[in-house]
Amino acid sequence: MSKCPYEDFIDRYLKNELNADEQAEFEKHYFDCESCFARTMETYEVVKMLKDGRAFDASLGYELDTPRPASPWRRFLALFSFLKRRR
Amino acid sequence: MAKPNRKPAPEDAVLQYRNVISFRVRKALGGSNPDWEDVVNEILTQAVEKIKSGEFRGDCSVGTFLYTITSRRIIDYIRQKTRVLRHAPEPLPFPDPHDEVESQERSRDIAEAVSGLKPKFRDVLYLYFYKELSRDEVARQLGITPRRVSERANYAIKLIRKKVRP
Repeated sequence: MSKCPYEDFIDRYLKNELNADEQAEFEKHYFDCESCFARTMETYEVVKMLKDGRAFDASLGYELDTPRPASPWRRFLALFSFLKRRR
Repeated sequence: MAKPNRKPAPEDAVLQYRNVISFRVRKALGGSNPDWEDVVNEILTQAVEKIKSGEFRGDCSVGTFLYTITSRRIIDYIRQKTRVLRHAPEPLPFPDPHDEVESQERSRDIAEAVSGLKPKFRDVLYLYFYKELSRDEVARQLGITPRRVSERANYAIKLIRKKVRP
């Protein structure tokens, strides 16, 4: 079966990298093309899971983002609520 | 005996598009915007009414007809919010990491499938989807064309989907 030319839009669509005209064209297309919509959903599901970083193990040489440390104000609030709970 | 070729009821014809409409609305509004379900229901109701009243005469496909209604409703929603908030709502990340809680098992399966990929595919997935670099930035870092980035990403996802069936 030949590949639908719109399949090449899928990754950029999910990454918001299509220009406005391309985006509208692709969206109009997948309302009618079951195959492209199914591929878009499949890609979306996998991308969503890749975002948790679990797939990129440090043993494979990847560097994962570390959560940003809390600001001094947030740390103060956390300490304050902790002390308040202990009273 | 051949079955009579009955036209589906407008409700049934429109409901077949619920997933497509939902996806389009969530993409535009952001995965964690609580209004998305109401917007989808409004679109479905409006579409059924238009079909019943004969406003939809079949000049275009049902898909195109629903696409038009959906796009107009999304624009209206954003305009409405802009009026209330004095500026357009912040675009929310999509896919939203807090969107749905996926099973740990499924996440593990995908991680396993990714570790089995050739490094050239894995690197694209890492930079493009995890680090969220643009396609051009990934292309520059890896010394390949932007088109090749898309090809590798799409092929890698196809391989993952083959190993991890829903």
